[in-house]
Amino acid sequence: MVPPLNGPRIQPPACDRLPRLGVGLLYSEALSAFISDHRDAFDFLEVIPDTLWSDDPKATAPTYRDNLFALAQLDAYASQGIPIVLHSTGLSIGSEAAFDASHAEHIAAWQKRFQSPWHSDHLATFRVQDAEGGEIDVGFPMPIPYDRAALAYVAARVRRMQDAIPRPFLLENNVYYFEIPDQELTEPEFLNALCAETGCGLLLDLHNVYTNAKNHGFDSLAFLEALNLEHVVEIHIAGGHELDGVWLDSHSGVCPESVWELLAQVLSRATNVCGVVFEVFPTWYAELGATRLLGELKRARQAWVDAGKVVPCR
Amino acid sequence: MSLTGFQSALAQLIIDADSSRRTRCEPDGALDGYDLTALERRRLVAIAHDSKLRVAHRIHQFFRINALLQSLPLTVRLLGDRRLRSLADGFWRLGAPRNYYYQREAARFGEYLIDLVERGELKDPYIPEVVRFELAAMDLSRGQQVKGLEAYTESETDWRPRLSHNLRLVIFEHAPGDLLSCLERGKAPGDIQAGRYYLLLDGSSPECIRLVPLLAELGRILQHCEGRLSVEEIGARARVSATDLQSLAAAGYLD
Repeated sequence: MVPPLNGPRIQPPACDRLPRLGVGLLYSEALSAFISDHRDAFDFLEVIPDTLWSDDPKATAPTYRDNLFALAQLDAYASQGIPIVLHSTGLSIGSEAAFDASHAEHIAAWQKRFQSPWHSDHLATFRVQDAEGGEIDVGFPMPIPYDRAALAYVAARVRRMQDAIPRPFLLENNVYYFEIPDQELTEPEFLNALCAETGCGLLLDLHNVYTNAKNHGFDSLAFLEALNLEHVVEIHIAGGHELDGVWLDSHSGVCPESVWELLAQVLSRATNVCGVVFEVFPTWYAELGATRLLGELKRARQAWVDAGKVVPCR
Repeated sequence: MSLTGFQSALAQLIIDADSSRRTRCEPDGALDGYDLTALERRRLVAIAHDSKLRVAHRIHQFFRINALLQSLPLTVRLLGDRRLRSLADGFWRLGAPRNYYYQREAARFGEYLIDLVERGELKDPYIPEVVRFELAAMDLSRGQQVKGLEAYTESETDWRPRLSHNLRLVIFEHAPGDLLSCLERGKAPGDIQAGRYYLLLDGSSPECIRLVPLLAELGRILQHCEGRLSVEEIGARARVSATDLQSLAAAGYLD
C-alpha cells in the first residue's frame, strides 16, 4: 500500500463527461493520402504537436515556430469534423532539473485551436542537465525511478499542467529497456498513486506493457490486474520488432496477438476509456501499407464494439 | 535524493557507450562528477552492467539519425549510407544533442558539413548548396518570421532592404533543377552543369514551397538584400538604383 502524498486528494478527471471518440489514428504527414482516402476507417486523429513545431533560439516571444503546412492540413481535418487529440512528447515531465513552462503554454495554444478533449504526454525523462548546466536531449524515454520522491515532484508537475490547460491531462506508461534496481514502488503502484493524488488520467500503452513484459519477464495480465483501470482514458496499440533479442516499441507494423488480447481485457473492464489509437511511425508506414493499416483499424473498431462501447456518430 | 545528478549520469550512459564501459570498469572515477546518493550510484553501476543498455544506446542513435533523415533527406541521399554514418559519428563526437526540436540538430549538422567542405576535409561540390537549400526550405516551412518591428519604425532614409519574410534565396554553383531532381529520384548526381544559379524559395502559399529560378540579374541584386546594407551600398554592389529597389519591394520581393 502506497502512503498518500501530502496535499489534497483530487478526484479522477471527469471521465464520464469526456466524449467517447472510438478508434483513432496517429497523424503524420506521411499518412495524408491514407487519411483522405479512408476517412471512414477511423473516428479521430491523434497528433504529436511538438513534432510540428520547433523552437527558435533567436526569438524572444513566441519561442516556437509552427509547421504552417501541417497546421493548415490539421485545420482542414478539424473543419471536416474530425476530432483532433493532442499527445505530446516534449514535456519531459520526469526532468527534475526544470519544468518547461513555455512548452505547456504552447500546448495550451494548440489545445485552444483544436479543442482537444484531453491531452497527454509521456511519464519519462528526455531532457537532462549536462555538467555545465546546459541541456542535453537524449531523444529516448528514460525511466523515472518509481520512488516516493519522484512521485512527489512528478505530481507537482502534473498539477502545473492541469493549471496551464483546462482539460484532463493524461500520462502514458513508459517503455523501458533496462530496469532501475531497488525501486520503492512497482510501476502499477506508482501509476495508481500518481493518478489518485493528482486526478490525472492514464494513457495506457498496451504495446509498452507487452514490450516491458516480454523484455523483463513479467506477466502482462498480472500488471493489468494491479493497475486501477478506472484511470484509463485512452489506449495505445502498436507493433514492434526484435533487435538483438530485445523487443522494441518501434511502431513498425501490426499489433502482436497478445496486444489484441490485452486490449480485449482492458476494454471489458475499464469503464472510462474514450479512445483507442493505433500508432505507426511515418518511416515504417511504407512497409506496413494501407491494406494492413486498414486491417488494424478495423480490428480495433471490432474490439471497441465487442466490449460494448458506444460507436460514435459521424 | 539528487535525481538531477542521477538523470544526467543515466543520460550519459545511454548516449556514450564509452561512459557505460567506464562505469562498469571503474565506477568511482566514471561517476565522480555527479552528485549521487549511494543508492543512485549502485543503480547506475547495475544499469551499466545490463546488456539491454546497448539497445537503449542504439535507439538513441536511431533518434539522432532519424532527425537528419527527416530534416535533410536530400543531403542524406547525397551522402549515402556509409558517408552519412561516418560523418554523423564525427558530428556526434563534438557533443550531445542539445535540443528536442531536431531541426536545430539538423541545422548544426548541415553547418558542420559545410565547414568540412570549406576546410577541404570533405570533397563534394554539391553538399553546400544542397544543405543550404534544405535548411532554407526547413526554415520557411517552420513558420515564417513575422515582419520585424524594426521594418515599421525605420525611416525611408534608413531602409535596409531585406528579402521578404516569405522568401529565401539559395545560390547554386550547379544547375539546381537537375541536381535536386536527381536526388529526389534517389539517384547520385553525375556531372551537373556548373554555373551560378539563383533559386528563390517562395513560402507564401500555405500548401507548399514554390521554387522559382531567377534571372541572374535579379538574383545578384537580391543576394545583397539581407537587411544589413543600405540602399546606397546595395546600389554600389549590384548597380541598382533606389527606385529599382522600391519597385522590387512593391512587387513583394523585399520587406
